[in-house]
Amino acid sequence: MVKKQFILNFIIIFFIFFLDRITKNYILNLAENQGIIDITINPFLNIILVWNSGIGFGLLQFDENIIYNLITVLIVIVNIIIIYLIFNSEKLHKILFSMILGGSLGNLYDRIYYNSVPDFIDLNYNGYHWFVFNVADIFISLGIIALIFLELFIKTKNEK
Amino acid sequence: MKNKFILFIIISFLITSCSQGLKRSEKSDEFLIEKKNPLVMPPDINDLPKPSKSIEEETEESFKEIITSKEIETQNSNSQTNSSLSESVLKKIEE
Repeated sequence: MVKKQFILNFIIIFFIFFLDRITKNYILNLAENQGIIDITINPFLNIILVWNSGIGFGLLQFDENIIYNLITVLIVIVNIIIIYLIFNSEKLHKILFSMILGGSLGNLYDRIYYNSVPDFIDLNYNGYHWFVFNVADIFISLGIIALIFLELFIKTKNEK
Repeated sequence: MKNKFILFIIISFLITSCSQGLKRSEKSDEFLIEKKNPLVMPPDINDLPKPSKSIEEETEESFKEIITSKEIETQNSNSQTNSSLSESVLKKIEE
């Protein structure tokens, strides 16, 4: 049973990591061939390549290497904490933490390999653009939102 | 409970990497351009007044009028002088 759960978590992490890698490599190959990536798919979705050397929502983007390396170390520590949480949490929480870890490893790989993370999904409505994100961000956000919902609704039900 | 939420949000800020697409604002967005209706003739096109003559046409016409009136005047005066001359010659002959 424990082994089955471990294999399931492992598959989730690697599936998200490789899906993220495939999409990023596809966009980066397009960028190499065409120069600039700016594809309009429909009125609400564009594909545009933006590099982010900071953290979420474009925060903490500095030119200094020390700050960049400090943030990278901090992200590695967060990933270790998530791995710890996967081993020491309930079944559904394990799956959600695995989703978050898969996305987080995808972004961490880019931070180490390219020194910044490529973002390319641009959602917009009537000229208002949401932050440009990637596939890893989708799974991280879904995992975090699901965890918050679990804490809010299921925990309060059990307390009653 | 609150601490957990704060922890989740901090973690999400750290490990996500969404960023602002700065170059988008510099470019035109073709989906923002509204389609305009095709050009059609207005329904009261026949009720509109006829276009007035241009200034050049008006001045040309006025010049023509002046010239023709002058010509007529000179012709009249010439015919008058001719008739008076012939009369005077006739009178002289009779004398």
